[in-house]
Amino acid sequence: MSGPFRLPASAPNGFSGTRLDRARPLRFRLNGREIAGFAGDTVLSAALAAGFDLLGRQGTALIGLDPASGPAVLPVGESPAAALPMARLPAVDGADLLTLAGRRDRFPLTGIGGWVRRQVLGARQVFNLRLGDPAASVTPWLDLVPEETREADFIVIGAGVAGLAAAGLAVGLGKRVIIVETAPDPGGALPYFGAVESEAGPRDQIAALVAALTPARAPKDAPKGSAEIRTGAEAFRLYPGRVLAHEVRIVDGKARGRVVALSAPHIVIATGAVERLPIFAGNRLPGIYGSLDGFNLARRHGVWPGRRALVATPHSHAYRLALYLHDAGVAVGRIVDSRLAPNSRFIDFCKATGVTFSSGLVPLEAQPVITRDSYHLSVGFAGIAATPAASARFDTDTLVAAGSFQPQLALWLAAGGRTGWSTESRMLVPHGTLDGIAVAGAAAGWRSTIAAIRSGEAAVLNLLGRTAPPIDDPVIPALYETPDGPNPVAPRATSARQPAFLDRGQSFFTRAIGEADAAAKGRSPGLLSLGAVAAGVDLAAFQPLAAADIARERVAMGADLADEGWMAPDRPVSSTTPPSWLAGRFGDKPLMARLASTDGRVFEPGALLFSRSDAADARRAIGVVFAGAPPGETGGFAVLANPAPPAEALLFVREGGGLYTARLVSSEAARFS
Amino acid sequence: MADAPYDMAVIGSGTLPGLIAGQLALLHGKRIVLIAPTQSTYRLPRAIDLSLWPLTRPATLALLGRATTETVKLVGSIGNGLVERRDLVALADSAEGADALSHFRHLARLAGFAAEPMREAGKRTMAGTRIRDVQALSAGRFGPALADWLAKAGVRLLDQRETVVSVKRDGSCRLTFGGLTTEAADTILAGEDALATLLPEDARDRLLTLVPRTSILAASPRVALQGSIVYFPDRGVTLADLGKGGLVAFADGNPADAGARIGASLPPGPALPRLAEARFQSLVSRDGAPVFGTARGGRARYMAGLGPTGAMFAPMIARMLMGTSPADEAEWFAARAAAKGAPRSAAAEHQPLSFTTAEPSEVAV
Repeated sequence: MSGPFRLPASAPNGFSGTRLDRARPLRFRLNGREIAGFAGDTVLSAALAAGFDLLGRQGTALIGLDPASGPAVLPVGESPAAALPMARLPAVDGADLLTLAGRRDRFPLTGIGGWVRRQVLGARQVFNLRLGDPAASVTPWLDLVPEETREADFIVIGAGVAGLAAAGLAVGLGKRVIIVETAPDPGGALPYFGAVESEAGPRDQIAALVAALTPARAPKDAPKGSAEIRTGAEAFRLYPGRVLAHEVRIVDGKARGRVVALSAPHIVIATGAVERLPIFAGNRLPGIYGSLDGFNLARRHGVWPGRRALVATPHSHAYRLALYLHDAGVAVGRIVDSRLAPNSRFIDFCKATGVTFSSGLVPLEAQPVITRDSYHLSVGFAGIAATPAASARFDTDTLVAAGSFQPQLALWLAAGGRTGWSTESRMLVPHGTLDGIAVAGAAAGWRSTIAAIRSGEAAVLNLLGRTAPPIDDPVIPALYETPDGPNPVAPRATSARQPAFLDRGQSFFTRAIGEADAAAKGRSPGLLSLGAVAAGVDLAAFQPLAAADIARERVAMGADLADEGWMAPDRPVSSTTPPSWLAGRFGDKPLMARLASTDGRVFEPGALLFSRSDAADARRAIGVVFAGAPPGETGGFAVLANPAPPAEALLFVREGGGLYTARLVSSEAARFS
Repeated sequence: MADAPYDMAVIGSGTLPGLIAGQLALLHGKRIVLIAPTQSTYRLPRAIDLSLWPLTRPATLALLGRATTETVKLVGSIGNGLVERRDLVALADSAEGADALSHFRHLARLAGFAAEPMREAGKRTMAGTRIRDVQALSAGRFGPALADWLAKAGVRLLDQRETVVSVKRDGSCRLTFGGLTTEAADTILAGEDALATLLPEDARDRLLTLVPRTSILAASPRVALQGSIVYFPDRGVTLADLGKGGLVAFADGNPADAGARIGASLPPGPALPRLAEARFQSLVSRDGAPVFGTARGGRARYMAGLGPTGAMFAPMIARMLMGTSPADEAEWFAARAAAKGAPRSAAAEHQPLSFTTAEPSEVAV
């Protein structure tokens, strides 16, 4: 076993790690600490398997490492431009990696300094990052110049069931398709959500959808479709007809990132949904994971960062994770469902396995319990509408904090799409249309697998100008399966010492977002994610109508701001042609005059000309200097009111803080530039 | 429409419409309905409100000084801590821009402002002006305070997103919201968004043109800006330091190179993550001066192109709307009246480099 939190190789339900090759152990260094893993690990999964789950602090709040919040890391000796996201970076034997920025301590990471650092900070402090500083969360890999350009008929973003179904239909219609998928394998969240009784199992469904990407023999002269899946590639920018994706590849034993530019007239966004963070104090402490993130971590990499688990959920999907963890040897102490007396087939399964079950409770606050040699969580629960005092408290190594789901629409917003708040499902859903772009699957708000598949197919048909059949989204009757509850929001715990964050990842807004003075105090804790916007509506910090506007402005961001060498065009001036902005300033027929200085000065452009030495009201000025004298001469050129003062008259130039004298040399009708 | 429930409907987002509405209600005793989007401190600012900006008309600067005194006193009655003092820096890349800023500096000094010349070395030496202690309305605090003040002033506030406005030829309007309908005898289009939405292009002066504008919130740079507000007329870029809240940047013109222009204007240091971005359109006049007009073919009144100092003119505009302007104000407004597209030689301002012709080449942010 590599790492203390690796599930056994014999774990059933795929929880031994579908991506792992346990016959190929590896070791790499991260911030000076050696970490063991297996081929197939990411740097993040190996770090969590080794027990390094403390990411750092935001203010005084402890923040845990989870798949959504992995920092950027780069090989020792490389420039920041070589940094890569920890969650998508394959672990490579012998690699020596550093976090990019934002460390709270200045200890050296290696040698004697590294030993001192471990003694002072403790063995778990691999990262010790200062979090919530937007300047430290740069993503240089997204600013890389595309190394490859590809064209296709369709680009499908997301290889979940909706994306695969869209791609399969397009291939069947003779189209060339490129599928971009962030995860290392296709299938999306189907293994987590599972199949209903009438459906084939997730593995079989995914296999069938992938098989459909290989076209059957096409009729003679008919165009032959094709599909290419680019896994491990994150689509990060979307323009009409163009997608930029970043992918990490191993070249000569080293991981390197590159950007690929993909072009197609039709784009399907099938990016699925993200699980929201339940709102309670201490909800980002080390050891707290979303149910979907936790499921994927266990399934792909055979990692569960604790011996004990507690599951808090507003829906039945997290029960599957609880059962699988139990089967893998993790002590699942309790499932706490925020729904009152829910019905679910899973409840009977859990009872049969001896897992204790509670309902009608939400996590109120989590507290870290830290000793010299151990760390665990103490989690208080309260009734949904109860007073802010915990009615039950449990100790655990890990808390699965399951939440409701929010369609992942960042790319839709980036492309100029709009969203609207659905009061029924309490989520932001896509509104309106965009030419050449369609949204499908959970990203469009569909819930069932069959609806996701049909919506993927409908997206392709609609983009091709064809009529798609209506989509049915079947729901299991509440008698058998209680509908999903809203995202849990705990009553504010007055005794809480840790803040309640609104979302995971790079967003560090807290529930103080609802307080009137939060913005006035100038807090800017980074990006406001879609999940955080939805939480803002739940907390009544945002009106539902405003939520869509806020999401549009704050969720989909372009490249980091940097000097790319842009230069303003020059606008030269002329000593014979006054600038146009002085036209009309001194009447309909102003003069262009040559002035001589009586004390050898060259006048500064912009200085004002008066006929009296005591005049200082700019509205009484008779002219403005627009150019200094040529080299070797004095005075300058001015626009002057008509008629010109007599040649012998002394004129007064107010320049800077001084008053200087001049005489008129010549004048003529002004012609402006 | 004398029996309409409201004397005037003031329409538009931003500071100026709210201040005008409040003044009309409090000082002029009018029954006012304000149609504006509900304030949210998490929306990106569309503009900044300052007591001074690089202007080249002595008459405007003279009135602005007086108007600022009046408006700051008014804002003081709305709440405490709503006015901040900031350093404004304007830097020109071009010789033409540097001359215009030099003239502005001379005008500002004569008007009593602490204006200093400055030079900035870089890829190209920039010349400009620093003005100390410019007064600015606090972006984060002002919106909520304004809403409370308007409620106390008896101004009815309707959410622009939930209200259908029908402007009639006689200048009155019908307002439909939540299944209810009300009317106002006069319509004042005080926000550029309202003007762009409610008046077709041929009903507003041809001097007015829509310019793309990008507003970006970024993390704070490690090296401080040259001033808390920095304006680059030759780049169409303005940077405003929000302290711990980061930095907000505005770029007029083509959104496709807005990021590059802003990036070139930042202090040296590592790249700054974008935290928020909004793209919208701003109405500006082709001669650089504000426009006060009446809808062609109707009687609804409008104003546009006032720039960052617009809010300071709110009490003055309220007097103009009531027909009680003193002579010098009336003269100033007359010179800035809509002119059927003809340039107004007695009012035209220095125009920064035109970014108005560029069209968005892509819509992604």
